[in-house]
Amino acid sequence: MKSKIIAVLNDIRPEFDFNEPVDNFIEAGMLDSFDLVTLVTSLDEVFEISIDGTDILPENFSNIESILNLLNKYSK
Amino acid sequence: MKKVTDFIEINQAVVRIKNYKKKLVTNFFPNREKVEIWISKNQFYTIEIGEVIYFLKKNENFYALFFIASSNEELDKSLLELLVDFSEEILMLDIVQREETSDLLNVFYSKSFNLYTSLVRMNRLNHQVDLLSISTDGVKEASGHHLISLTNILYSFFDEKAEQLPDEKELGNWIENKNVLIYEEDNQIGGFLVYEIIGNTLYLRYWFVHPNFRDKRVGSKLFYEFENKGKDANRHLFWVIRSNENAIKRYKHYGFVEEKMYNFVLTNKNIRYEE
Repeated sequence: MKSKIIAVLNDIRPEFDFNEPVDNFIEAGMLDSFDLVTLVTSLDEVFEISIDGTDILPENFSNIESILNLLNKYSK
Repeated sequence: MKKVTDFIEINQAVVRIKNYKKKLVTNFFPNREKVEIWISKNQFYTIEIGEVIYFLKKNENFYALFFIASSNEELDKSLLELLVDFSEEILMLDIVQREETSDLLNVFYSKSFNLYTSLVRMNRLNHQVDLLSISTDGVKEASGHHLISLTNILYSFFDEKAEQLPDEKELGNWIENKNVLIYEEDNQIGGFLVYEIIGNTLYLRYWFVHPNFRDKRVGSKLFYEFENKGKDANRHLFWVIRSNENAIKRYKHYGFVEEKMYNFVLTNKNIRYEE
């Protein structure tokens, strides 16, 4: 799942290395609000889920771990 | 149409649209600080039509239109009603995407929207600046007493329909945060540059040289000071109007490259951006 998330992120921002450990993609300037919406729609498509509106919070997309935690909620 | 009174209404709109379990189609990527200024000045409205929630920022001569929709099809249906309600008004909207065309753009074109202009994002990565060899004499940070002059220049020389200009309060916040550089000579503002640093990214917002100060290296002095301020940022970004070939050439000279990231500015009227 992690490699799929990284592939989605690389597709959105190919200029960054999302394999590198980063605390917060947004604070690091790697993702902005436009990217967050793209990320939500891409994750919906790739993982065949529908992320709830209430989960569209920056803290759920701040790094790979937080995205993994979010997706795990939908795979249960 | 009702006034928006709290930023939370935007989050609630996203939740409501996402709960249709379809898609999330939007052109709204709000900056909270900016939106809260609009709300405090009673300039921000919302209207819900079918599975689309629109937000409208009222400007003097036009409305900036934002939408959050459950799909292109629902947007297509709901736009008909919106356009009837706003047939007398100028609507402007921005669609940011990585492609030159899209089904989303076609939804608007099919409803008689026209392309007002388009912008392209330019970036520069890991740029090293040789600061020692560059003079920035005359450049300083703007202060509160420059606010009115700067606002007047912005609204006289920039196109507010195409370039999402900040209002006086927002510009005042940028001055307070030391994000505005000016070149001043004999109490006259010869040029200015507005920038922001977010994380490792340096955003160039506005860069202007007054016609009376052209060919005096004012622009490059401002730019070098901007580079100095952002020397620790590893990524420099800004938007430029695509038809402005001279500007694009100048930015390329400074090491910027065009990204595949476009902002299409659309309008429901038959008007075009003029150079």
